[in-house]
Amino acid sequence: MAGGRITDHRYRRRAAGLAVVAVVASMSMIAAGCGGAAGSRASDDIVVVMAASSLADVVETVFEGRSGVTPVVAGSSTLVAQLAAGAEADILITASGDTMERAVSEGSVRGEPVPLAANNLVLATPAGNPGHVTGLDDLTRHDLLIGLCAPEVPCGALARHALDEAHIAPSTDTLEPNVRALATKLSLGELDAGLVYGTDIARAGLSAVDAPELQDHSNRYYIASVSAEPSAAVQAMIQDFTSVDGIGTRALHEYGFGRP
Amino acid sequence: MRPGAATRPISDIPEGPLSQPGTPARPISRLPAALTWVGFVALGMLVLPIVGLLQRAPWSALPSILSESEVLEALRVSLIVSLGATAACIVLGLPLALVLARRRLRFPRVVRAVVMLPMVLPPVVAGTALLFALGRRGLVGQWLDSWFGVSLPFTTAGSVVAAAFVALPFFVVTVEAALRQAGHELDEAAATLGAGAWATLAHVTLPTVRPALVAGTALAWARALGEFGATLTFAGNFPGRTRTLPLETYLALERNPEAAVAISLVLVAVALAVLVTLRDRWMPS
Repeated sequence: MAGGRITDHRYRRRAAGLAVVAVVASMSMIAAGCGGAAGSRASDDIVVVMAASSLADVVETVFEGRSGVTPVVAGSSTLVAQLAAGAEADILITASGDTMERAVSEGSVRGEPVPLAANNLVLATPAGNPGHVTGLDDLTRHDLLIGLCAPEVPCGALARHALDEAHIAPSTDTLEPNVRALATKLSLGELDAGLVYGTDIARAGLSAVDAPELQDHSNRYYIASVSAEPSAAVQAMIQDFTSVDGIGTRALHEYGFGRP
Repeated sequence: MRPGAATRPISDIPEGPLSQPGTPARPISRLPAALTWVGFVALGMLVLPIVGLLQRAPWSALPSILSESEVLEALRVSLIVSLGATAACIVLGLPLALVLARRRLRFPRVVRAVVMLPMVLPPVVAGTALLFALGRRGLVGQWLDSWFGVSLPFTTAGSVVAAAFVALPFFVVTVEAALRQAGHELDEAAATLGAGAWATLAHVTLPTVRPALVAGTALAWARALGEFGATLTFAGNFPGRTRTLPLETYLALERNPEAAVAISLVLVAVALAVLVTLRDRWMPS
């Protein structure tokens, strides 16, 4: 076999070369995956909508079976980073004002951001409230298993702020890394109470307990056209989410989002 | 050229990974070139991410990041959890490996597959499965709770259980393979000479597979140390109780990626140190 006669030296160089090729190939695949919006854009007739991952269900309801639109769903900060890196999109919907502000200040969004929904912080218990939780004060009870989101993620930051303001020091048993994990543990009955978003109540089949202290603590969602001069199709799609009886607005309501 | 190496009959060349030291080095030219290439690519695939980690490491800030109380606390929890899980793997895994290797089982393939399942289960699923079984409302957990007042989720003990669940197969598979390879002739000889079952185990069986015991322990410990998904899902995340280094890393990624890199470096360094030491001392290379 010819390969067998190659000297050790050349052999090693070739192997290194092959490794580099493999690495470059895999990196470009990763890059292509990140810039999914750019890659999947078939023509100028297709509207690319980037939406925060908590809107996955809403986006699916609104755009299911509709041609001429490609939804891209990911975490808000990921979407903003993709736009900054040159991903092509027509509409951006973020789950917080901060992330939208970043997109605007980086120059990747030139349209005017409009609030389209709010996701309220809610005191949640497993269905039927087995721990007999009656209010936010019960988060200090040591006989209950209490879960919050970690302060590093938005729902946890919101929860900490709300509890600080209400002067409540919770007897926390776990700080979950995302709100879905927290909602799952509540729905399994492994936790007695926790602070999740309003949208998690219906999705995870939880019970909500009235907590007036949480009223003003919510995450605001924003929508904006990426271009300063959006096409008619893009404008119509933004209208779907901002007008009172738009298909997007109705879907948001259906999934438990509040008005902005 | 070693004298004798070429003239040795084929049947003399020891087989398998646990062969005797002094095996003649295999001539490289025997290996097809393409295979060597792919081998290097594979090695690159393993090394490259570590290089990526190293080149982003905040070397100058390393001491201050790693002496943060949160990190030290996570290190403490990590050591308790991984060592506890390793101890559980030895205490429970050794009997299981012996049963698998020595007893005639009714459905040996099924049993072996079941033992290996935690290796393929996505850790988050493993954690959820543990909740279904041992959680407060779980199959067995509800009885633990009502009879003994024991609830594993959200406790350090729960973290140990989750880590042991995913690490156990690594110990059992390693030790069982070695037991099978060693065969039971020596055990039988010992029994014929009048040794009891325990004496045979302690003086014949276990010493024969000592390298595998060490290797299995190291693998199980390394797996437990890096465990993330099952621990998080089953035991949650609370500083000083259930927050291990991998969990600390994950959260640090949200607030300060540099810290996440620094903590990962500790995990890599600790694991590498232990694995290299063990290989050199106990496993013939």
